[in-house]
Amino acid sequence: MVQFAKKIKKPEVLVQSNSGTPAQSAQPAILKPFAALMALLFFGTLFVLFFISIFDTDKTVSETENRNLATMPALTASSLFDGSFMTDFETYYADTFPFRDELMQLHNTMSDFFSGTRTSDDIVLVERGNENDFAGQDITYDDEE
Amino acid sequence: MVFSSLVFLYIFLPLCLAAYFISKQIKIRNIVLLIFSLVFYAWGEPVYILLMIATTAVDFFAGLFVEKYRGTKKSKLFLTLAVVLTLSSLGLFKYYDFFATTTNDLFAVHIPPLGVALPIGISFYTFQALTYVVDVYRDRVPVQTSFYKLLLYVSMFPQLIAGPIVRYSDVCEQLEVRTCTLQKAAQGIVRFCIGLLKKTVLANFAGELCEQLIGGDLSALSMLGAWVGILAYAFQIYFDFSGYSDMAIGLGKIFGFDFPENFRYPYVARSINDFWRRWHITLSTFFRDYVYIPMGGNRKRWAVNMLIVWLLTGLWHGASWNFVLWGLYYFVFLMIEKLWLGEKLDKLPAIVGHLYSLFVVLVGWVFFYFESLPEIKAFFIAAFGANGFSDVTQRTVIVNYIAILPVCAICAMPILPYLRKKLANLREKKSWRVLWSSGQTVFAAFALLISTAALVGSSYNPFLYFRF
Repeated sequence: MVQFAKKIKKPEVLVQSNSGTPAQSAQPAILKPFAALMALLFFGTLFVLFFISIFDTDKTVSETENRNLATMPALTASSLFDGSFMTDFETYYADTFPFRDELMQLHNTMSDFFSGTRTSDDIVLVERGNENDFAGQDITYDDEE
Repeated sequence: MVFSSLVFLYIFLPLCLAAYFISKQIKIRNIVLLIFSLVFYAWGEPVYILLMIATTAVDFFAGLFVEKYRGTKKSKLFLTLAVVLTLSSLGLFKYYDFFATTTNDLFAVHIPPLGVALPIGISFYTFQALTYVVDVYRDRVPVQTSFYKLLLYVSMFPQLIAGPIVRYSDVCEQLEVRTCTLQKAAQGIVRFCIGLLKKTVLANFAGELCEQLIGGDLSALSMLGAWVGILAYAFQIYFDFSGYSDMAIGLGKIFGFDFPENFRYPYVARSINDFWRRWHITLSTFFRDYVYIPMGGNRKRWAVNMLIVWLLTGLWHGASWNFVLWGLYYFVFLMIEKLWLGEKLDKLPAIVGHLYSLFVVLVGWVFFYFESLPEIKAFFIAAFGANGFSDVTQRTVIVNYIAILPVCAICAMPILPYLRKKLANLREKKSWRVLWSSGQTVFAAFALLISTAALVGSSYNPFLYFRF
């Protein structure tokens, strides 16, 4: 089939561009130093956060939310093909994202502005003496003498 | 994978950009983009990626045969075969269950439904693949002889899952030659950030408001709650969908592509006809050029052609009766405008046209939002005051979310084009250009920060296109 494909000569046809208007044709140019700064900021942020998120994976507990963070899901053939690995990985990644608490704070401020209510609904109820107790540490309760 | 996710922004995108810009050779860049696009799709659809590749293969070989037998009957035969096969995958995965259940209800037979999930983006990429084979047949584009380039066109991740519907003719030259400049990248970044902010902030907050008002029990819905709720939905779907198109166009620019525009401030339309020239432009032009005109356009059986196109437009948005109704609803208004109202609207003050269009579009979203007829009926009963004008809990919700409505309204107006036009007149003044450039830089940084915070902090980040 590849041979066959090669035999067909590409005809020279004037391409008619016919759908919609070209994207933002009359856009005034961004001055070069600013364009460079913007590219540096944008790509820089992506890369810096990428590296931090890859190498800084120690965090397992969220103290502000009083819960264990999601852990890295195990990669198996079945979890890959049914897509559960991807979903779990996204949860894990969001849980362990760099500067998570600070970004949460910013989100809450924004939420207050737009919705007037806090949307931190991640309250997890745990049983006493459960291994999921705060930070996995043993806690002595006052009424447990 | 979707754009509005941390994994996309902070793992996929940096890796893809690094790999892409390592080499200056277009061939290597194409291959990098193809590999990343396949990973992007497989992340969400690890199995159905084979369906996408198979669809592309069908249209690739059909294109070769159409070219080989050009001028003979066989050429048309291969075109027909390709169109039928391509559409049948859409038919099977998207419409089979709908027709099975409908037939079962109508004729008391029992056709078992398949019960499979809709592969993400199937409605977009099958249409894209079709534009290729049809345009080869029409001799508008040269046949593509390398499979990976056609696969790159179909699967290219910026426009893969939520549009715009880029035609092969739009990008076939860019697959061979394209330039990446700092200027283009900077403009792409701004565009991407606009889209990201629209999706993660405006659409999601408007969505929360909509959900709280009209997402639950409709029997207690007040008149105020109903109208504010559907208004919030109008904002949600616009900012979500147009935000996605912005991100696609912006990413395309970073990689050196020019994709067509998909939205042009639809809510400032002066008529319904105008609305459809501003809303999801690549879809309506697709139906115009690949369905309406081939059927005869306005030269023969005009009304029938219009009816078919709008039934199909409705069905394209989802395999369900409410979308059929939604399409028919627009058909009715377009006919009324064409035959009678259109000329009158032109003579009246602009504000009349704006208000009329907004009202019609707003009512239209009711058919889009509610998927069952009883719900639609219950909504209209509430919207016309049967359950009272206002209700204390719904009023509280509206007051809580009140800030989102004016912000959305302002952002839905063409303020940026207005500023740009103003600026074009002042082009020679350096200080204005410095202000414009620095403004965009600050905006991009701010938008990325806010959107990241929204993605980290928000548990509500829906993806609306599972039905498309």
